[in-house]
Amino acid sequence: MPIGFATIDWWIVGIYVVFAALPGFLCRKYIRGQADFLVAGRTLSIWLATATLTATEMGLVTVMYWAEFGYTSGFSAMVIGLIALSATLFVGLTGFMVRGLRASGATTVAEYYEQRYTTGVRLLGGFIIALAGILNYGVFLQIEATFVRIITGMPETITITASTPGAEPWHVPTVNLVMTVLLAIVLAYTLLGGMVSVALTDYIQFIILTLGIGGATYWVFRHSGIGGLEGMVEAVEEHRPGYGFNPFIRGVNEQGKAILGVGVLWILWQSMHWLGTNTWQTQAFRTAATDSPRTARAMWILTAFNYFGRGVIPMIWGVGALAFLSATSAPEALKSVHTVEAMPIFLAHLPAGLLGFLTAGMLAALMSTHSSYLLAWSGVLTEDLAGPIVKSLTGREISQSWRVRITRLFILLIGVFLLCWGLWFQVPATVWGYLAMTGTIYIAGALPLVAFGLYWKRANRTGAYVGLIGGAAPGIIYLFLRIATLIVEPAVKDAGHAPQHLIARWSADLTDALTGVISFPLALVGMIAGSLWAERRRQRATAMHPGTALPGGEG
Amino acid sequence: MSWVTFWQWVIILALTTYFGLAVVIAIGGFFGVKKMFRRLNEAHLRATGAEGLGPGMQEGATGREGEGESETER
Repeated sequence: MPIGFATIDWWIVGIYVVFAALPGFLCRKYIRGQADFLVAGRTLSIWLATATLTATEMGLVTVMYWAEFGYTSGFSAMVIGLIALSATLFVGLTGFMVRGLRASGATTVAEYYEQRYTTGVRLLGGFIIALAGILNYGVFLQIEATFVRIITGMPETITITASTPGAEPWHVPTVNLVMTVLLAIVLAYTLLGGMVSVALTDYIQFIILTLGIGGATYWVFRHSGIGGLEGMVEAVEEHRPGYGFNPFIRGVNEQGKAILGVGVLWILWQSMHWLGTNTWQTQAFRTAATDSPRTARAMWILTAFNYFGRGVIPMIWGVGALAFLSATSAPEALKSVHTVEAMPIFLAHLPAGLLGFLTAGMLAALMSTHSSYLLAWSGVLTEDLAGPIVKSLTGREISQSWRVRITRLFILLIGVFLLCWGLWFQVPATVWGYLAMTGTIYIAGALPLVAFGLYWKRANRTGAYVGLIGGAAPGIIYLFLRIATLIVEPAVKDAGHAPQHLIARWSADLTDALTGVISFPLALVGMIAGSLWAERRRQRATAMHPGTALPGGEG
Repeated sequence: MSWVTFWQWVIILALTTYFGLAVVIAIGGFFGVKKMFRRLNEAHLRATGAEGLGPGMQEGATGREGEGESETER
C-alpha cells in the first residue's frame, strides 16, 4: 500500500482549512472589548464550554506527546490518564479552586492574585505565568510540523536551486517550511475573531477531531500488521518487559541507568501537577468564560472523562506503533526510530481518505489549541503585565480598544518566538516531560496561591511571593542548565550521546520528574512558612507599636 | 487481576466514556452555540443602540469629549 498523502487527502485538508477560517471573519462584529476577545463575554454554557476545553486541550501536540509516551512506556503510560481522571473529577465534584476562581470574576489567574494579595504579586505571578506558558508553548510548532511532514510523506529537505549559475543549491528542512505555514494560518484566524470565533471553531473542530480519532483508533485495532490488542501486548512484552505493564517500576538501559518507564517519582509529580492543572491559564480562561460557578464545576466533571480519553487513546496509537514497527522493521532499525516520530510513521499507512480526514482532524486540534494558547499568553501579558505597569506609571487604565490592540501585538510577537524557539530548541527527554516540567514552573506556585487564597484566611503577600519563587525556581534552574548545555555541548542533540561537560552532566542528572517533585512541596512550604512568618512579624510590630499597620495583603 | 487485564479495562472505559460523551457534547454544544450568539447579539444590539443615541448624547452621558477618553473610562 502506498504511504503518504493521496490527492483526495489533500482535497479534504484544503477544504477544511478554508472552512475553518470562516468563523474568524464572521465573528468580528462581536468583538467590542477585551472581555469579548478573551472570554467570549462570559456566555459559554456547560456543553459548549466542555467542547471548547476538550478541543483546546486535545491538540495535535497532545496526541504526539501521549503517543510518544505510549511508545516509550507501553501500557504503563496510561496511568497518567487515570491520574488526570481522578484529579480532574475531584476538582469538578468538589469545585476545588474552580468555583472560587469563577465566583471571583477574575479573567486571569494573576488577576486573582491581585484581588487576594497585592499588585506586586500579580506582576510577579503574571511574569512567571507568561514565562512558563510561552516556554511550554515554544515546542508545539516543532512537534506538530514533524507530524505533518511524516504523515503527508514530504521529504526531510527541499532543495532550492539558485538562479545564478554556479551558486550552491539551498537545502531547506521541510519542517521549517511547514512550521511557517502552520503559524501563518493560526495567526490569521486567531487575530480576527478572539474567543468568540475560537468557541465556534472549537465546537466544529471538536466534532471533526472526534470523528478522525474514532476512525484512526478503529483502524489501529483492525490493522493486520498489529494483531489487535493481543499483538500490542506481545510487542510490549518483548520490547518493554516489566515496566511496560507495571507503572511503579522503571526499566534499565544499556548504561545501567533507570530511565525507561514511569516510576513512583513520576506518579507523585503527576498527581500534584494534575490537581493544579485547572489553574493553567488556557484552562482558567474556560472556567472564567462559563456563565456561572455551577457551570464551571459541571464542565470540569465532564472534562475529567475527556482528559482520560485524550490521554489513553493516543497512547493506544503509540503502543500500536511499537507493535507495527517491531513487526515490520529490523531490531536495529527499530532502535534508530526517533520516539516522537513512531506514531506518525505508523499512521502514514492509513488508507487514502481516512488519512486526509485524520489530518484535517489533527489540524483542527492544532488550530483550536494554538488559538487558545495565543489568546491565553497574550492575554496574560496584556492584563497582568502591561496593564498594571501602565497604571502604576500613568495612574490610568488602558482603554478597552487599546487592550485588544496590545493583545493582538503580543499574539504576533509570540508567533515569532514560536518559530525561533522551535527551530533551535530540542527537548531533553520525552516531549511530555518537557511540557509538564515547564507547566510545573507555573502550576507549582499557582496551586498554593489560589487554594490557600480561597481557603486559608492567614495566607498573605509574603507567603505568596515565597510560594511563587519556590515553585518556579527548580524549573528555571532545569531550563537554564538545558539551554547552557545546548550552547556548550550541542552534540547532546544526537541520540545516544553521553554528556561530557560538567553543565551537561548536571542537566542530565536533574531530570524533569525530580524537578517536578521538588517544585510542589517547595511552593507549598514557602506559602505556609512565608505567611506565618509575616503574620508573626505583624503581631510583634503591633504589640511593640500599637496602631502601626503593615502594607496591604499582610493579614 | 493481572496488569494486562487491568489495562484492557482501562482502554474499554476510556473509549466508552470519551466517545459516549462526545455524542452528548456534540448535541448539547449545538444548542450552546445558538445560545452564545443569542446573548452576544443582544449585547451587540444594546451597544449599537447606545451608539445610535448620537455623539452628543454619549458625551453628555460620560462627561467626556473625545472618543479616546470615553474608551478609557469604559
